[in-house]
Amino acid sequence: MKKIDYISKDYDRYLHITGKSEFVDDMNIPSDTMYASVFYSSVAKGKIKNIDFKGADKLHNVFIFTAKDIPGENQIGGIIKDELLFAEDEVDFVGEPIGVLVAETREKAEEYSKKIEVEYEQFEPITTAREAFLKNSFIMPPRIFESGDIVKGFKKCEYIFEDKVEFGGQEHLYLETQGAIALPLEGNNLKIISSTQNPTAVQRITASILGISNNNIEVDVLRLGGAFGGKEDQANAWAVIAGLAAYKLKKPVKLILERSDDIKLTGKRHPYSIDYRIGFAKDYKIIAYEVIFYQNAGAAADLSPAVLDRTLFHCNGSYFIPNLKATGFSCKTNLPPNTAFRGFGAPQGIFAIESAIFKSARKLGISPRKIQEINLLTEGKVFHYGQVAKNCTVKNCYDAIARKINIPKKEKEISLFNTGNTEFRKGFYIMPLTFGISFTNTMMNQASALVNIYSDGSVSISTAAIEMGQGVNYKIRQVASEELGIDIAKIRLETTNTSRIANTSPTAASSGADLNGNAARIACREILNRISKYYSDKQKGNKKLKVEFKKEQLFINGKKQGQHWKSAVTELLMNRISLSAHCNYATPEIKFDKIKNKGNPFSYHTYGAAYFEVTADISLGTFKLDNIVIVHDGGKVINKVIDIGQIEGALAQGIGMMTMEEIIYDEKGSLTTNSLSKYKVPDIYFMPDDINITFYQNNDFKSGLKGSKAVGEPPLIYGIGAYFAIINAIGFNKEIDYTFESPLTNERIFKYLNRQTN
Amino acid sequence: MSAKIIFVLNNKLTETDSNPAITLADFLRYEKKLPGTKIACREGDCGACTIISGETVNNNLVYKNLVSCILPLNAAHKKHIVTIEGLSGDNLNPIQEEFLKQGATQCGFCTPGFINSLTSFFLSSPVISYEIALKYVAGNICRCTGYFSIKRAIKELVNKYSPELNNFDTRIDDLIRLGIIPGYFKEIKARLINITDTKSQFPKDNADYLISGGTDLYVTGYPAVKYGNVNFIESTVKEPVTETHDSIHINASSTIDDILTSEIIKKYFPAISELEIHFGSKQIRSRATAAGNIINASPIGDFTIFLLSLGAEAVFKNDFRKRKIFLKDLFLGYKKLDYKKDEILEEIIFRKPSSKAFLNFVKISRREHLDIASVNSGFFAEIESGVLKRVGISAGGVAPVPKFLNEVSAFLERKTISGENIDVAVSLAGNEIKPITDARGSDVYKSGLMKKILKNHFAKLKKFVEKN
Repeated sequence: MKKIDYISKDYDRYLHITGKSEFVDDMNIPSDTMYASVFYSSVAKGKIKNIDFKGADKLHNVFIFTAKDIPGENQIGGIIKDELLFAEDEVDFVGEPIGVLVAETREKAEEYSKKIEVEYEQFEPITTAREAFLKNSFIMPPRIFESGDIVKGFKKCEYIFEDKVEFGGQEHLYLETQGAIALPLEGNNLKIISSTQNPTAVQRITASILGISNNNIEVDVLRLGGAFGGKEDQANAWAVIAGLAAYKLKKPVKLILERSDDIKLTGKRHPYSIDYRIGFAKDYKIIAYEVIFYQNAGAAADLSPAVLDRTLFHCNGSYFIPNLKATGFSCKTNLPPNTAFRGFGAPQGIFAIESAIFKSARKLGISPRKIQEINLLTEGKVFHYGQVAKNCTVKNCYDAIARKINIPKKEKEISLFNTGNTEFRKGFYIMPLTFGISFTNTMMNQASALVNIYSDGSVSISTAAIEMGQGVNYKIRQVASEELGIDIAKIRLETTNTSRIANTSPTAASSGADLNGNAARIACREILNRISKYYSDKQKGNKKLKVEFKKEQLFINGKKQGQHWKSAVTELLMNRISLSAHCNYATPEIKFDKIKNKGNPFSYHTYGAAYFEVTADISLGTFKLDNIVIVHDGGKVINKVIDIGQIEGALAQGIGMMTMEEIIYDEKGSLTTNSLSKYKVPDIYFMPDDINITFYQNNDFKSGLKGSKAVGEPPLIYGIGAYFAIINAIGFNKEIDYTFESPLTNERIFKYLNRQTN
Repeated sequence: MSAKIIFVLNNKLTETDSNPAITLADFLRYEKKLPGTKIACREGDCGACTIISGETVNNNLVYKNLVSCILPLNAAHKKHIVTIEGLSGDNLNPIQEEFLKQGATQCGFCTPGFINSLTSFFLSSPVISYEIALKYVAGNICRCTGYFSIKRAIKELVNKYSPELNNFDTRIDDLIRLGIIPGYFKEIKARLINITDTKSQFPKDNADYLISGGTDLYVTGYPAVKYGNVNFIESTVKEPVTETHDSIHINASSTIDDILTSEIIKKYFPAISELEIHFGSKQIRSRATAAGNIINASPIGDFTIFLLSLGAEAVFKNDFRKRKIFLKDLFLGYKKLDYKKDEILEEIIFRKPSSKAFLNFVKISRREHLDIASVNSGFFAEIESGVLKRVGISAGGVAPVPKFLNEVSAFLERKTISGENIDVAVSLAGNEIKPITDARGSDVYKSGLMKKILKNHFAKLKKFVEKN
């Protein structure tokens, strides 16, 4: 009994814990499958002078494809067409693919491709955003968001502070590396199995690379072993390369990146350099804020323009700022194109304003909390992009935390611990959260679902959503089960497939469950409407009956009919009622003017607050997380286990981003932190045992998926609080005269502690 | 003589002629089609490929969790290798059930590794506690959950099953009864003993690689290793640590885990259980050997740094002779040692510490656990009426070799712990070290850290003296 229960109730997770869930590299493939290995640039900027294949091009059953072998357009850029699949004459970053080598085994493919030697004429690379800015190297013209009157605003200020901020990048470190299998079908057709968040992009780009139509390409995605944004745009190249090779060879081709390549070749979270100026009234109300973001986009646009926009949308953090000017420069450098990563530009914007508030408070000799409390967003306040804050609960969450902790008591306790303690210091911080939900590109806020009810009463659902650990499959099954009134065990989520669901948006922007869950609900309702009509017609005289199923029993106008779901399905099919529906959902009431940069870009905001307490060793420059308390507004949460899991996971990733996770490129543009032994992410000891997460009771919220709020990205922002808790500990009773830089590694803590002596 | 590797894979006797130098993970996934064992990093740093390995030692069936992505297939010989497939029957076992209940799996890629590590904990830890369970899974990285749900699952499991598992002698039977492991484990010991050792030793001459645990070589030297002529030294250690009246002997081919958890080491260095978790992960400690750590000569080898401070000596032997050399004299330059190719490191010897001995080991790294140090350092001294004797201070990450701070150690000999002496020691250390900038930190950072670590040694020493 138990077994069947679990399999049906939580299918993906059941497979995971028994080791039966399949990822791309686990799938059974035809025995004649060939293996592909990409060879790539070893210099950050140069001209290709010569390629020496070291004899591999003459070997039997070894094939090499480069730019000249591309039958269609050598182009994979999404937002801007500025990225080649394979380099032609020039290379612009270390890891830029030059070609692919295909052999009969993975070992051979790896071995021969690693031997290939490329000769370059090398040029001086640009590695930082500020350097690119000075050299006028940009991805696109600057973006400016403005509200109020910044000049007049600053004139009214009593206190003005300015500084810069440095924000470091972050590696996704999805555990499953990038990979794809391409299977040639009859004629010109191809099926591609890919570990991607964006099957439609894989389909579109493969078609255009091959010079064929989208309908020649079927992309199928079972599940991803983590993605976090790293497989939104950056899964494309590998799937397309496998597709190209399979198309050319008319044989199945598999391409899996080894970790050592994956970490080098793929882009990361964008490093930013930031300049800000902030002005306050006498009562510490923020009057004006001017901020300039220098985004390190890497060598091509990828998703950088959209990421930069989200930075500008979130540059006010959780605060109301009447006069604001935010300028964003997307700077072109010689690094792998940086890309989507949970938070998508928001962390950079929010870290800047939080830094400005923290530093100003310290200069003013007050607690940062004082500035936070006075300036937190409240109901009806207008964001700098014109949207009105509705159902705004950030202050409620913030106050709930302050009450839970009993801040005055905590302050005394910590001051007592710290005073005279030459070894350890404690610090805490409350981090507010405001995060806009929707793709900021309005057209992407749509999804479709295909619901099929089979003759035995079982149900199959296809949507655009990609399951990558976030539990979206389960949430969709959950709402479909409620809608249809049948056991969740009867409902299966299919793979995400471009032939079943076309023109999909990527599963990104925390919107997977909102968009696809709603599409599935609409499709279920569409079928229920047909069922209603059938039973209404059957009972002549009654025009509109309320027909529904509860626990798989048919109810008409609230009266149990004694007919089971299964028998109803049989009857409906006998009477030629279609039990399949394909429906679309588009998020209502969102629009945005990209010229004026005003509108309602977000369906709603997710709010919350997090408390961090840390202990720092002020001699050795290390710290420990002691305690985390979170109050999170998740709307009317429909699945607590999943949502708590998302909050906890995003939190860990956010803390990692702000502390130990450091990306280092050397001056030649080569990645120094190029393995798991050099790039460290939180481990089980690093995360504290002590965590307390509660949901803010928000019964007024009506949007989202059945009143629940999107949860994937927002809690990542909490991690920023860890940074300031540590600064509070190491900077206890000390002047803070250093510029804030992230991540706050042990080395950086040490540097901050020993500023005078070093 | 055949070169077959024979072992029990889950419930199945398995023989293979495959190249013994390929990794077990590749063998399991691509030859045996058991894809539940995941490969995510290929350097033993994430634990996704964790398997359980059982062997008979002193007529006991002993299990450990190992990372199969840096484990040569050769290491499976005469072992019981358990993968997630071997733990998953028709019903969920209690560990799996608890993971499901707590939402301790999200994307699923790390999950088999976690379940294997936890199962290994139940199989091999005499004491069932939350703290010890954490040691077993600390080498497993999860990028989705933030570990909270995994910790909740572990707490539940420990609370529920610790009362049932207090007799280690009947552990396997108890675990079968509780459904934590499948019934076939009962026969494993007999089946392992029945495997006749038909495997030939590889020729000793002309070996390109000498592999002990392989936990470093398989990170830095793979896949080249599998194409080379390999000489395996599989550990068959019965007593990892022994003592004579005045010294302690470490069998060089014993694993770090066996050494650190040995009764003798625990007796003389009670603080070791706290230090233990700073050396790699359980998976690495259970495979890496003392010899490997020393011969690899990494400038930040944790165990080497620890031994250096104790004034340890290495005993080498070849066909003709044995020779002793102080560890501090062994390291000549970056990865250059005073040892010849025909020599094998047999044992490490150091004098027993007196009852007034102080030992401190500090390791600072990006991440506190399962990481390579920016700087690590050992401090050993015996204190007699406030005077320091047998002072040994070692430091890693500050020179091309694991460094013994000769001048500082010599200076402190027969000195008291005065502020003045500390200042001299710290400034002397500054002359002895020459760190470089790399992924683990800048030279400035490492120099600064070295000073602070020395001060930390002295602060702890002072407390120790006051207490005694």
